[in-house]
Amino acid sequence: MEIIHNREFKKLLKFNGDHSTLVGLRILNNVLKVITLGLYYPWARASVLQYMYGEAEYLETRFVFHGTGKEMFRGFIKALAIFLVLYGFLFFCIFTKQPMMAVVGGIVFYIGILLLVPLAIHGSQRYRLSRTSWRGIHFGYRGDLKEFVKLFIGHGLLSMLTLGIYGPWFRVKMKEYIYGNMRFGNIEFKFTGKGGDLFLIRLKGIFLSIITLGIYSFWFLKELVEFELKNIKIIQDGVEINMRSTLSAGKIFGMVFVNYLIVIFTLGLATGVAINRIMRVAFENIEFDLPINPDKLMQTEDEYKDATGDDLAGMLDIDFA
Amino acid sequence: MDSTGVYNDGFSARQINCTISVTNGHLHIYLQNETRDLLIWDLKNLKSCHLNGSHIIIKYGEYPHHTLECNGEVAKEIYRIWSGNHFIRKAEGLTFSSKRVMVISLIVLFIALGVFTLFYVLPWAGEKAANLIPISTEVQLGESIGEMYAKESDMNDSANYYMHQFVKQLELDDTYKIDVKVVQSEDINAFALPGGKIFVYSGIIEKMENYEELVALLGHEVTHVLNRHSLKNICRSAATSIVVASLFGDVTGIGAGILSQAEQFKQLDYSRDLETEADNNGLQIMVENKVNPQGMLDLLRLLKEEGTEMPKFMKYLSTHPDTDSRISNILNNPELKNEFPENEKLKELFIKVKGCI
Repeated sequence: MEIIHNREFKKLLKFNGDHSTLVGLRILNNVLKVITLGLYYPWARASVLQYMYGEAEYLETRFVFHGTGKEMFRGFIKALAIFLVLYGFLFFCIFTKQPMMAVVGGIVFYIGILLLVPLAIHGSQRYRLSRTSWRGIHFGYRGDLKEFVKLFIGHGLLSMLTLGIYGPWFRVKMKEYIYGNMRFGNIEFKFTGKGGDLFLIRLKGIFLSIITLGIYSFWFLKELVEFELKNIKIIQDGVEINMRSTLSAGKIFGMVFVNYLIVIFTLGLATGVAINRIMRVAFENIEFDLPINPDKLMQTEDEYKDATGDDLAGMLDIDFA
Repeated sequence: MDSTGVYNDGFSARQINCTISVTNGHLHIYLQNETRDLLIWDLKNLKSCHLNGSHIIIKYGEYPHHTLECNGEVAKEIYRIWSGNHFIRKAEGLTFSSKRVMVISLIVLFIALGVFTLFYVLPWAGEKAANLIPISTEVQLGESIGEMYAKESDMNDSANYYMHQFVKQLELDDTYKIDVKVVQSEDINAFALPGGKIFVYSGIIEKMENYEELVALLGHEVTHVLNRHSLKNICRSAATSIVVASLFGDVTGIGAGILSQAEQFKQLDYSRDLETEADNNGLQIMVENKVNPQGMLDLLRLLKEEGTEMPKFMKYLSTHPDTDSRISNILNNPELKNEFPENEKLKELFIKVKGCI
C-alpha cells in the first residue's frame, strides 16, 4: 500500500480568458438572440462554452469543448417540446373550467417539472462531459438514468418531508453518484463528503450570516468551496489525487464587490468581465497534491451526442455539480 | 510555412512533438517519434477546429479523433482555410479578434436594436397578440375581475337599476354587452374592465349637472371597452416583461429592472394616447346618439375643478394627459359644433339616478 505523507500542493490549473473577447462574444450573442427571437440561444451557449473551456488549461494544455450549436439546437427543440406539452396540458385542464381537472393539471405539471430536474442533471452530465476533452482524451459519465431518477426522487422526497433539513445529505448523495460515475479516460473520481459535515457548515453559515447581517456569508462561501474541493478525489491507477482551495473570505469579498460594481455601472454589458474574473479567481485558488500522469491516461469513453439534458438544465437554470 | 506543434493519437494523452506545414489546403504533420511518420490531413475535412487567440486545437478522423495543437501564424492559416465561407464559423472567428472598433460598433448596434425592440417591436407584437384573444376570453377575464371588485365594494343597487335603463336608451356597438354599475364612493372616478363591465363612482355622478356629462363619461369608458384598451395594455406589458426577463433574467436582475422602468415610461405615453382616443370617440358616440357634445367639455371642466391639478412637469408621470390638454383637444373637434334637442327620456333617467345617490 502506498502511503504518501506531506505531499506538496501545486497550482496546475490556469484560466487565460481576456475581457474584451468575452464581452464582445456575449454582446454578439445577445444581438443574434434578439434578431432571431431567441432561436440563436443554442449557438450562443455553445460558443460561450467553447470559449470558456478553450481558455482553461491544466498542465499547460487547454481543454476543448466539442459541443456545437447544431447539436444543442436539436436538444433545445426537444426540451422546448417537453415544456410545451407540459404547459399545453396545464392550460387545457384550466380551460375545461372544472375544478377537479385544474387540480389534476396542476399536479401533473408540477410532477412533470420535478421529474425534468433529474433528467436535466443526468442528460447535462452525459452530454457536457462527453463533449469535453484534454489532449484528445474525453471525459464521460456512466450513470444510469433510472437509478439516478430513483435516487433523486427518494432523497429529494426525504428532503421535502424534512422541510430541507435533509438537504445537505441529499446533495452529498447526488454528488457521490455523479462523481462516482464520472470518468476522464481511465481516471476515476469519487466524492467523499459527509452530509453531516455539510449540514454543520450550512447551519453555522446561515446562523452567523444572519446575526452578522451578511458579513459572514463570505466565510460561508469559502467553507462551501473548501468542502467541495477537499472531498473530490481523482484516482489514477489506484493513486488518489487530492485537491484543496486557497480561497479566502477576503478574496471572495473583493471579487464579488468589484463584480457588482462592474455589472451595475455598465448596465450588464460588461458581465463578461465579471465572469472572467470569477473564473480566474476560482482557477488560481485550486491546488493539487499530484499531477495526473498523461502517459498513462488512456481513451475509454464512447462518443455521445444528445444535448437535450444540457438544454433542459439551461432552461431550468440548474448547475448542480 | 513551417511550425511546431504537439500531436495526440486519440488513444492516449501522451504527446508527440511534430513539425507542421500547410500546402495546397492540406496539413503535413511530421511526427518526431521513433518511426517519424508523416500524416496528411485535408483541412476541409477536419472534425473540429477551435481557435483561441493564436492557439488552435484541431481534431481529425473518426472517434477517438487525432488531435493537433499549435500556435502562431500556421494556426491562423489553418483556421482561415477551414472556416471557408461558412457564415456562423466566420462570425465565431470574428469574435475572437479583439478589435476595439468592432466591439464598440457592436455595443452601439446592440443598444440601438435593444431600444427599438423594447419600445416598438415588443409593444407592437403584444398588441397584435391581444387581437388574437377571443372576445369570450376577454369577457370572462373582465367578469372575474368585476365580481371580485363588486364583492369588496359598496354597490348602489337602486342607482344601478336606473343606470341600466339609462344605458338601454343609448345606441352602442353591440360587440360587447355593456354593463354599467354604480359604486357608492366619494371618489371622482370611473373605470372600464375588458369585456364590457364599467364602474362609475357615485361621487362623480353627484357632481354632474346634466345628463350630457354622464353620456360623455359612458362614451369615454365604452371606447376603452370597444377598442380593447385594457387588454392591449396588459399584452404590451406582458410581451415586454417576458422577453426582457428571458434575455436578461439569467444574467442580472439589475439590467432587466432598469429596462422595465424605461418601458413603463413608454407605457405612460401610450396610455395618454388611449385616453385622448377615448375622449374623441366618446364625443363621436354622443353625436351618434344625438346628445349635445358640449357635455364632454362640461365633464372635463368638472374633472378640472374637482381634480387636484398636477404641476405641468408632472404630466410626464401621469397616465392621463393633463385636463387642459384634454379640453383643448375637444375644443378642436369639429363635431363640437353639433347641436341637438334635449332628450327628455335620458334627462328623466339621469335625475332618477342622481336621486338614488
